[in-house]
Amino acid sequence: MIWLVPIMPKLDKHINHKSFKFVRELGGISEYVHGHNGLRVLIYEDHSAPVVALNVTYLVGSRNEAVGHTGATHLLEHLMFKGSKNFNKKNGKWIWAYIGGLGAEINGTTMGDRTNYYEVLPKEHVAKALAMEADRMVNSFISEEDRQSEMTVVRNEFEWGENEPREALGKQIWATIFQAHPYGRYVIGLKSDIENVPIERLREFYKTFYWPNNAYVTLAGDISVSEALPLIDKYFRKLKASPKPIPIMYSEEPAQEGPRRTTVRRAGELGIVAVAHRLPPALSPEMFALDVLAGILGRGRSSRMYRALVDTGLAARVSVDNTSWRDASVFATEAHLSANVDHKKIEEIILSEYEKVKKEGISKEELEREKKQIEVQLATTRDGPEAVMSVLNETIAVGDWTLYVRYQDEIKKVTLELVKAVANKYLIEDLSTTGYFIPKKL
Amino acid sequence: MKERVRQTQILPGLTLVSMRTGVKGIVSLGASFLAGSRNTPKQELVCSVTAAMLKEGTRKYNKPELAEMLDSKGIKISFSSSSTRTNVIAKIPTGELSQAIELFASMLTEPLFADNEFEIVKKRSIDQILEQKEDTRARASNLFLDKIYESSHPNHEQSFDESISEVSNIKISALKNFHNQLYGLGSMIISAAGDVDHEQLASLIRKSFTKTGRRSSSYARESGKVKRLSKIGERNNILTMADKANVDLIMGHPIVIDIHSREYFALETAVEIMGGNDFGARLLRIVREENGLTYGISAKLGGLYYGDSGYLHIGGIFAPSLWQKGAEITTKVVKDWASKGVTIKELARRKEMVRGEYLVQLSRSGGMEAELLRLLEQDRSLDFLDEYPKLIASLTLKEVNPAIKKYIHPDQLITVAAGSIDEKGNPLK
Repeated sequence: MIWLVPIMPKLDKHINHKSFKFVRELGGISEYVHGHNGLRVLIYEDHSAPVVALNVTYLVGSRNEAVGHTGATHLLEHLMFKGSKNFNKKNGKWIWAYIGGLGAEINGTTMGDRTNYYEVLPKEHVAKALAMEADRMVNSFISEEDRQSEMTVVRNEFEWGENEPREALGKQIWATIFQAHPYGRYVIGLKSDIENVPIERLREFYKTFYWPNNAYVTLAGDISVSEALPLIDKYFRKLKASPKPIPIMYSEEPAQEGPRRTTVRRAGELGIVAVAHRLPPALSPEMFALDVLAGILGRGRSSRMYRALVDTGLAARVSVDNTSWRDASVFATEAHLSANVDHKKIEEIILSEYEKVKKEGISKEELEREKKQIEVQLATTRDGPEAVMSVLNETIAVGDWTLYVRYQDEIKKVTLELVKAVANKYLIEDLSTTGYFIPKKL
Repeated sequence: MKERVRQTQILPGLTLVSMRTGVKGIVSLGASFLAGSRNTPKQELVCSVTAAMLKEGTRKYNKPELAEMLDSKGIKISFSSSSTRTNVIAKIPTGELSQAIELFASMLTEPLFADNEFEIVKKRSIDQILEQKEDTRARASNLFLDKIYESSHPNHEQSFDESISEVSNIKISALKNFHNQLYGLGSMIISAAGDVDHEQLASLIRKSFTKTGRRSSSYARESGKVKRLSKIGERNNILTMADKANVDLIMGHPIVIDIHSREYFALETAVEIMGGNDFGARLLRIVREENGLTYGISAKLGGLYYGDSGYLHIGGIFAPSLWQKGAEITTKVVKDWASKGVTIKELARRKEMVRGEYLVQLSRSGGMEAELLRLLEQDRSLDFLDEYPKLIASLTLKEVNPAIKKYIHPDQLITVAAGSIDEKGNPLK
């Protein structure tokens, strides 16, 4: 067997295919759109191993939900594995078992901006996975019988998450930040909605958003453009574009006009303090400086929060994340307190670290260090077909897959002044939401 | 595949194995050597606290210097320990390998063990134990191991309160002794995959470890016993915890089998068919898909080292009102599997899966590095990389089903459920 030979992607670009229009090529990734139904296709060649990652991203997430059917996107994701016209239990091709039986990693995930379904599998099986994905895009059963049996499964997933203090607090923080926008409800949804959403709502959701013109098919790995396009065309060309335009989600979160707070008290051992700030959407040009700022504050043992909180024995761990989504982002420092440490004291230290950046800025060494760390992180996103597919999935979700390729150059442009400026613009009291998890001793 | 792997004994007691993959600019590196809790049976946590001290400064670099050097070069490295070994996992930019290996050697061979840092690490270790104490899965697992092993068995875990007490009272001299006795060459394996040149890496490792002393290369064999339970009541255990929406259920029993035997692979295959993380496997299909009782349930063989006793481990999550039904159906699945065995169709499907899974796992540098390390830790030849799928493909029903009969005993299953349920298993009000 000859494989894992380090072969650079030999780009088979500008391949002409009667059904596809070439859109662009960037960073070894070729984009095409199907002329018949608007399906968008991304292909990345990496012939190091005889493996292909297939991902279908639908531009529908929990941001498209409303009162009464929170969690519907996610519940629908589960039902998408129950069976479709040509891939079902009766004909011996039940999706989980049939594709899983090929040795594929197979799953689906739902987030605020997108739902995706993927298979990472030996290259010789890619046609089977494409056939299945095309079939379930429009022919899934979405039956009441399946909803009933899967509802308890999804409810158990909800319960599993609820066991975690971190998730319980996170739900409250997002609900406090986003009071109008659907981002305020966690993707998993409310327990009562999971239990009661009628099958008609789920079918309506499916019929509204699951169309080729609302989806991207990504293929990464040991497959060339000239191999991929005919295969995709074979299985997807029979699908029609949506008869109506895909609905636009137009709700906007009103401006925040003062600090907000939330508290969760439950049985537990250790407290958590989270200080969050609402930020602009993922594609805002300021996000690159905010990503750098998050790293300087929270990435690694030389970061400011680690030194202030963990090195001093006040916290067991701390993280600083900039969660960037299509309509808005959240910058949050989350500290898991050591035993018997006061929440208020930790909150004050977090805020004082923010103030230092706002007044004094960051050092040149810190900026260079964080740029290096991002460079290394990006290198790992090219380690195997699955890694490439995963990052493309998230950049598709926020509205521009080329962000994956452009990101490194954009980070290089971040300056000391930019980091200080975004800290002063966004890490302000009136945009803050502070959450405490307080362990209840029984 | 083996042709693409390079293996070199760099120094006596230090072996490097590596493979270049398609990724550019990054290397996944792993390492391990024999230094685990088995070596200090009366102080289970000396090994993990010692590992936690390695990044707190070395004789050459104090803690801030070390942190700054690692972070500024983009080097990620972490240390942990198990019952048998101390483990290292790292991601290193190819251009920084020289610096990374020098720092890695410094952390491993000349840690500072400063008193002030030791007190903070102890505090942090206690915090981590407290977090485990509020976790239903960790609590259930801890009690499960307590129920199947005597306290002298290496797979036994002391209670969380005992762990907190141990860490509170641990002296830095114990760490220094552990380090002096076990950290060094002898059983050290380093594996690497990614954008790596074997000869260059070997040269860097040789340079950094050439003065490192030899340590024992033998492992501590088990001395403890499996518990013999006589009363039915002792087999069913409930841990009541407040404010938990989910119950973690663990079922299983001890198993003694040689991981180098063909019989082991027959049993492993049978367990995967029953409880693999796959909807074709019986537990997921029956407990989740057909009965809608769980988000996740699986079975595996765990704790098996060097022919010592390990265990069958079945773990699932359930709503407090459904866990008893879940346990009942799971038991039925296990009994049916143990009495009737697996089918020829299931075995054929598993063989196909293994081939695909193996390719997928090894398509990532991290997966390849971990597999290379695992092979050498288990004293297997690199030929095994190519032989493993063939070995599984050659298994027959006449090997798989007798392995189930021989090693699986449903009447000896021990059950632990942890969550907001009372002593009778009913949901707390």
